[in-house]
Amino acid sequence: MRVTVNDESRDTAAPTLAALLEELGVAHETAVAAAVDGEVIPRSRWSAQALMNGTSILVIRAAQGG
Amino acid sequence: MLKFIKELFVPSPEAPAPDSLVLFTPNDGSWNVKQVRQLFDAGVGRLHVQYRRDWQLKDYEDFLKNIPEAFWSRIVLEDQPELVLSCKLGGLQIHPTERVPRHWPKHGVLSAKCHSYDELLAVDKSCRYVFLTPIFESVSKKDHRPRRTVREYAVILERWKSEGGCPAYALGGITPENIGEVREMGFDGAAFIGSVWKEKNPVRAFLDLELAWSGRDARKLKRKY
Repeated sequence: MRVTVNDESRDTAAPTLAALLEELGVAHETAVAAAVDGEVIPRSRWSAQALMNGTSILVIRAAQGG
Repeated sequence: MLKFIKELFVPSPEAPAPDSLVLFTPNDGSWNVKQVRQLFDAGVGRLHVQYRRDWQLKDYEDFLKNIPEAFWSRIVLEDQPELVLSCKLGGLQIHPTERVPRHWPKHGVLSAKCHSYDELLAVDKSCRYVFLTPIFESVSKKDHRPRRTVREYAVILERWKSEGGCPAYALGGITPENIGEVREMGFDGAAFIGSVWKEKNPVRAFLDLELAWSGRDARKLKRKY
């Protein structure tokens, strides 16, 4: 399926937000928060958050000293 | 009538300092929660808790547990965005090049720290304010010197503002002696680390900086000295 990650189109087979963030290599970063179709999803719900074709995902990172 | 007279003598609450005067915590263990509480009591309006490599989620949670909830809206983190959202903290500091979700909650005010004009230009329009650093030679970091002159910073700020940029605060080496110069350069606010934490009495140091920034009479600040 095709989703949008931070306004960029991306093909993925990830069924959940957790799987997609794992694919992006950011799932274990404490500085990361994620939103699906505009709604911020708490980390505890990442595994239950299903993705569908056309879903828009936003990933934001805290500065961590930068 | 008696009630009215009594009310006249009720002490007015400490008015917080403007949140354009920002205090950063050091990024090591040279500060403690008790000092932070004292600083909030004295009127610190915005505290950026700098990222600490040795801190996990639990450390941030423990820190918050020891701060009265009334002050949480004054706290900004450089880490743990979920904690910022779940505890309704004052905001999150992001990297200048970070893009922001369209529906980012309004209470999580975003800010960024910029080290150059290019970084300033890259900042997402959703950021409510930015820091430009270092303006003067750092008090807390050795050999952390400004890359531009005072005049160049003034020009950068003028251009930033003419392009509709958000408020810009000066960070790095700000002291009561040079804070007036910061205002003259065109900055909307100032941020402090070493000039507060390196002092014997951080509360007093912050109040001195606030006074120097505002130019007001100390008695009008209604702060604890």
